[in-house]
Amino acid sequence: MPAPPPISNTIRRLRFEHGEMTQQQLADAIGMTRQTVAAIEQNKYSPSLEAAFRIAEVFGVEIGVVFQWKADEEQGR
Amino acid sequence: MSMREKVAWIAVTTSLVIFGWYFWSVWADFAARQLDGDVLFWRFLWCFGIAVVIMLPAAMIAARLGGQAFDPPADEMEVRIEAISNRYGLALLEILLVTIVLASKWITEIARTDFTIDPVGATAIMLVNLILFVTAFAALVREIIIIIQYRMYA
Repeated sequence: MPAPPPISNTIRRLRFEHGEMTQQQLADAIGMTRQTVAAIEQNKYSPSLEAAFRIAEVFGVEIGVVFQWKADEEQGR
Repeated sequence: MSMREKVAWIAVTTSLVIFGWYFWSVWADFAARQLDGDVLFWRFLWCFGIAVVIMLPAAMIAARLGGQAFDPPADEMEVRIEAISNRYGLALLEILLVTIVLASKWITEIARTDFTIDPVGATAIMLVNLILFVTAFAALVREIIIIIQYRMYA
Protein backbone atom coordinates (compact mmCIF):
# COMPACT_ATOMS: atom_id res chain seq x y z
CA MET A 1 0.00 0.00 0.00
CA PRO A 2 1.40 3.46 -0.87
CA ALA A 3 2.36 5.92 1.87
CA PRO A 4 -0.57 7.80 3.40
CA PRO A 5 -1.46 10.88 1.37
CA PRO A 6 -0.60 14.30 2.85
CA ILE A 7 -4.27 14.90 3.49
CA SER A 8 -6.07 15.06 6.81
CA ASN A 9 -9.79 14.96 7.33
CA THR A 10 -12.39 15.88 9.91
CA ILE A 11 -14.90 13.15 9.10
CA ARG A 12 -14.87 11.72 12.63
CA ARG A 13 -15.67 15.13 14.15
CA LEU A 14 -18.28 15.88 11.49
CA ARG A 15 -19.98 12.55 12.13
CA PHE A 16 -20.01 13.36 15.85
CA GLU A 17 -21.54 16.78 15.15
CA HIS A 18 -24.23 15.19 13.01
CA GLY A 19 -25.86 13.19 15.77
CA GLU A 20 -23.12 10.56 16.08
CA MET A 21 -23.70 9.44 12.53
CA THR A 22 -22.26 5.96 12.12
CA GLN A 23 -19.74 5.01 9.45
CA GLN A 24 -22.39 2.74 7.96
CA GLN A 25 -24.89 5.61 7.70
CA LEU A 26 -22.30 7.78 5.99
CA ALA A 27 -21.34 4.90 3.72
CA ASP A 28 -24.97 4.34 2.72
CA ALA A 29 -25.40 8.06 2.05
CA ILE A 30 -22.47 8.18 -0.38
CA GLY A 31 -22.88 4.71 -1.90
CA MET A 32 -19.77 3.10 -0.41
CA THR A 33 -19.00 0.31 2.01
CA ARG A 34 -18.38 0.97 5.70
CA GLN A 35 -14.85 -0.40 5.24
CA THR A 36 -14.08 2.27 2.63
CA VAL A 37 -15.42 5.05 4.85
CA ALA A 38 -13.29 3.71 7.74
CA ALA A 39 -10.20 3.67 5.48
CA ILE A 40 -10.87 7.26 4.36
CA GLU A 41 -11.46 8.40 7.94
CA GLN A 42 -8.19 6.80 9.10
CA ASN A 43 -6.39 8.45 6.17
CA LYS A 44 -5.40 5.07 4.72
CA TYR A 45 -7.24 5.65 1.46
CA SER A 46 -7.64 8.83 -0.60
CA PRO A 47 -11.15 9.08 -2.02
CA SER A 48 -11.87 10.29 -5.52
CA LEU A 49 -12.84 13.93 -5.97
CA GLU A 50 -16.43 12.86 -6.56
CA ALA A 51 -16.53 10.86 -3.31
CA ALA A 52 -14.96 13.76 -1.43
CA PHE A 53 -17.67 16.10 -2.72
CA ARG A 54 -20.35 13.57 -1.79
CA ILE A 55 -19.02 13.36 1.78
CA ALA A 56 -18.97 17.16 2.07
CA GLU A 57 -22.51 17.29 0.69
CA VAL A 58 -23.76 14.85 3.33
CA PHE A 59 -22.41 17.11 6.08
CA GLY A 60 -23.54 20.27 4.28
CA VAL A 61 -20.09 21.86 4.31
CA GLU A 62 -17.45 22.89 1.79
CA ILE A 63 -14.99 20.19 0.73
CA GLY A 64 -12.15 22.13 2.41
CA VAL A 65 -13.85 21.68 5.77
CA VAL A 66 -13.74 17.90 5.34
CA PHE A 67 -10.31 17.48 3.74
CA GLN A 68 -7.17 19.53 4.33
CA TRP A 69 -3.98 19.41 2.27
CA LYS A 70 -0.95 18.88 4.54
CA ALA A 71 1.92 18.82 2.03
CA ASP A 72 3.46 22.03 3.41
CA GLU A 73 3.55 20.63 6.94
CA GLU A 74 5.17 17.42 5.70
CA GLN A 75 7.91 19.38 3.88
CA GLY A 76 8.52 21.46 6.99
CA ARG A 77 9.38 18.39 9.09
CA MET B 1 -15.37 -7.38 7.01
CA SER B 2 -16.72 -6.45 3.58
CA MET B 3 -18.58 -9.00 1.49
CA ARG B 4 -15.83 -9.06 -1.12
CA GLU B 5 -13.20 -9.88 1.47
CA LYS B 6 -15.38 -12.67 2.83
CA VAL B 7 -15.75 -14.07 -0.69
CA ALA B 8 -11.98 -13.91 -1.12
CA TRP B 9 -11.43 -15.84 2.13
CA ILE B 10 -13.98 -18.46 1.06
CA ALA B 11 -12.37 -18.79 -2.39
CA VAL B 12 -8.86 -19.14 -0.96
CA THR B 13 -9.86 -21.72 1.65
CA THR B 14 -11.97 -23.78 -0.73
CA SER B 15 -9.40 -23.65 -3.51
CA LEU B 16 -6.57 -24.68 -1.22
CA VAL B 17 -8.50 -27.69 0.07
CA ILE B 18 -10.28 -28.89 -3.09
CA PHE B 19 -7.77 -28.05 -5.79
CA GLY B 20 -4.87 -28.68 -3.44
CA TRP B 21 -6.15 -32.24 -3.16
CA TYR B 22 -6.74 -32.49 -6.94
CA PHE B 23 -3.23 -31.37 -7.90
CA TRP B 24 -1.70 -33.53 -5.17
CA SER B 25 -3.57 -36.52 -6.68
CA VAL B 26 -2.32 -35.60 -10.17
CA TRP B 27 1.21 -35.41 -8.81
CA ALA B 28 0.78 -38.82 -7.12
CA ASP B 29 -0.44 -40.33 -10.42
CA PHE B 30 2.47 -38.73 -12.24
CA ALA B 31 4.96 -40.04 -9.68
CA ALA B 32 3.48 -43.54 -10.11
CA ARG B 33 3.67 -43.05 -13.90
CA GLN B 34 -0.05 -43.83 -14.16
CA LEU B 35 -1.62 -40.82 -15.83
CA ASP B 36 -5.13 -41.59 -17.05
CA GLY B 37 -6.68 -38.68 -18.93
CA ASP B 38 -10.25 -39.90 -18.56
CA VAL B 39 -9.94 -40.42 -14.80
CA LEU B 40 -8.30 -37.02 -14.32
CA PHE B 41 -10.90 -35.28 -16.47
CA TRP B 42 -13.78 -36.55 -14.34
CA ARG B 43 -11.84 -36.00 -11.12
CA PHE B 44 -11.29 -32.39 -12.10
CA LEU B 45 -14.94 -31.91 -13.00
CA TRP B 46 -15.98 -33.36 -9.64
CA CYS B 47 -13.56 -31.09 -7.79
CA PHE B 48 -14.77 -28.08 -9.75
CA GLY B 49 -18.41 -28.96 -9.01
CA ILE B 50 -17.70 -29.52 -5.30
CA ALA B 51 -15.84 -26.19 -5.11
CA VAL B 52 -18.80 -24.36 -6.65
CA VAL B 53 -21.26 -26.20 -4.38
CA ILE B 54 -19.22 -25.15 -1.33
CA MET B 55 -18.38 -21.58 -2.35
CA LEU B 56 -21.82 -20.42 -3.45
CA PRO B 57 -23.76 -21.41 -0.29
CA ALA B 58 -20.83 -20.32 1.91
CA ALA B 59 -20.94 -16.84 0.38
CA MET B 60 -24.73 -16.73 0.76
CA ILE B 61 -24.50 -17.78 4.41
CA ALA B 62 -21.72 -15.23 5.04
CA ALA B 63 -23.88 -12.50 3.50
CA ARG B 64 -26.89 -13.52 5.55
CA LEU B 65 -24.96 -13.73 8.83
CA GLY B 66 -23.40 -10.32 8.21
CA GLY B 67 -26.65 -8.76 7.05
CA GLN B 68 -24.97 -7.84 3.77
CA ALA B 69 -25.99 -7.98 0.13
CA PHE B 70 -24.79 -11.15 -1.62
CA ASP B 71 -23.19 -9.35 -4.56
CA PRO B 72 -23.12 -5.61 -3.84
CA PRO B 73 -21.76 -3.22 -6.47
CA ALA B 74 -18.09 -2.44 -5.86
CA ASP B 75 -17.22 1.01 -4.60
CA GLU B 76 -14.12 2.89 -5.74
CA MET B 77 -11.75 1.40 -3.14
CA GLU B 78 -12.93 -2.11 -3.97
CA VAL B 79 -12.50 -1.43 -7.69
CA ARG B 80 -8.96 -0.25 -6.98
CA ILE B 81 -8.23 -3.36 -4.90
CA GLU B 82 -9.61 -5.59 -7.67
CA ALA B 83 -7.57 -3.74 -10.32
CA ILE B 84 -4.30 -4.11 -8.41
CA SER B 85 -4.87 -7.80 -7.67
CA ASN B 86 -5.94 -8.44 -11.27
CA ARG B 87 -2.77 -6.77 -12.54
CA TYR B 88 -0.49 -8.92 -10.38
CA GLY B 89 -2.55 -12.06 -11.02
CA LEU B 90 -2.43 -11.55 -14.78
CA ALA B 91 1.31 -10.83 -14.78
CA LEU B 92 1.93 -13.99 -12.77
CA LEU B 93 -0.27 -16.03 -15.12
CA GLU B 94 1.59 -14.72 -18.17
CA ILE B 95 4.98 -15.57 -16.66
CA LEU B 96 3.85 -19.06 -15.66
CA LEU B 97 2.31 -19.78 -19.07
CA VAL B 98 5.53 -18.76 -20.80
CA THR B 99 7.40 -21.00 -18.35
CA ILE B 100 5.19 -23.93 -19.38
CA VAL B 101 5.87 -23.23 -23.04
CA LEU B 102 9.60 -23.16 -22.35
CA ALA B 103 9.32 -26.40 -20.34
CA SER B 104 7.30 -28.19 -23.00
CA LYS B 105 10.37 -29.81 -24.56
CA TRP B 106 11.39 -31.21 -21.18
CA ILE B 107 7.80 -32.44 -20.60
CA THR B 108 7.83 -34.18 -23.97
CA GLU B 109 11.10 -35.88 -23.06
CA ILE B 110 9.58 -37.17 -19.80
CA ALA B 111 6.55 -38.47 -21.68
CA ARG B 112 8.75 -40.18 -24.28
CA THR B 113 10.96 -41.93 -21.74
CA ASP B 114 8.54 -42.67 -18.86
CA PHE B 115 5.19 -43.13 -20.64
CA THR B 116 6.24 -45.33 -23.52
CA ILE B 117 2.77 -46.79 -24.12
CA ASP B 118 1.19 -43.43 -24.99
CA PRO B 119 3.73 -40.58 -24.90
CA VAL B 120 1.53 -38.20 -26.91
CA GLY B 121 -1.42 -38.68 -24.56
CA ALA B 122 0.83 -38.28 -21.51
CA THR B 123 2.25 -35.05 -22.93
CA ALA B 124 -1.24 -33.66 -23.43
CA ILE B 125 -2.33 -34.68 -19.92
CA MET B 126 0.74 -33.13 -18.33
CA LEU B 127 0.44 -29.89 -20.30
CA VAL B 128 -3.29 -29.53 -19.61
CA ASN B 129 -2.79 -30.13 -15.90
CA LEU B 130 0.14 -27.72 -15.77
CA ILE B 131 -2.03 -25.07 -17.42
CA LEU B 132 -4.82 -25.82 -14.95
CA PHE B 133 -2.35 -25.61 -12.09
CA VAL B 134 -0.87 -22.24 -13.07
CA THR B 135 -4.37 -20.84 -13.72
CA ALA B 136 -5.56 -21.96 -10.29
CA PHE B 137 -2.34 -20.76 -8.67
CA ALA B 138 -2.60 -17.31 -10.28
CA ALA B 139 -6.25 -17.06 -9.20
CA LEU B 140 -5.27 -18.07 -5.66
CA VAL B 141 -2.49 -15.46 -5.52
CA ARG B 142 -4.95 -12.88 -6.85
CA GLU B 143 -7.43 -13.65 -4.05
CA ILE B 144 -4.65 -13.55 -1.46
CA ILE B 145 -3.58 -10.12 -2.72
CA ILE B 146 -7.20 -8.97 -2.36
CA ILE B 147 -7.24 -10.15 1.27
CA ILE B 148 -3.87 -8.51 2.01
CA GLN B 149 -5.08 -5.19 0.61
CA TYR B 150 -8.33 -5.30 2.59
CA ARG B 151 -6.35 -6.05 5.76
CA MET B 152 -3.99 -3.14 5.05
CA TYR B 153 -6.89 -0.73 4.61
CA ALA B 154 -8.75 -2.07 7.68
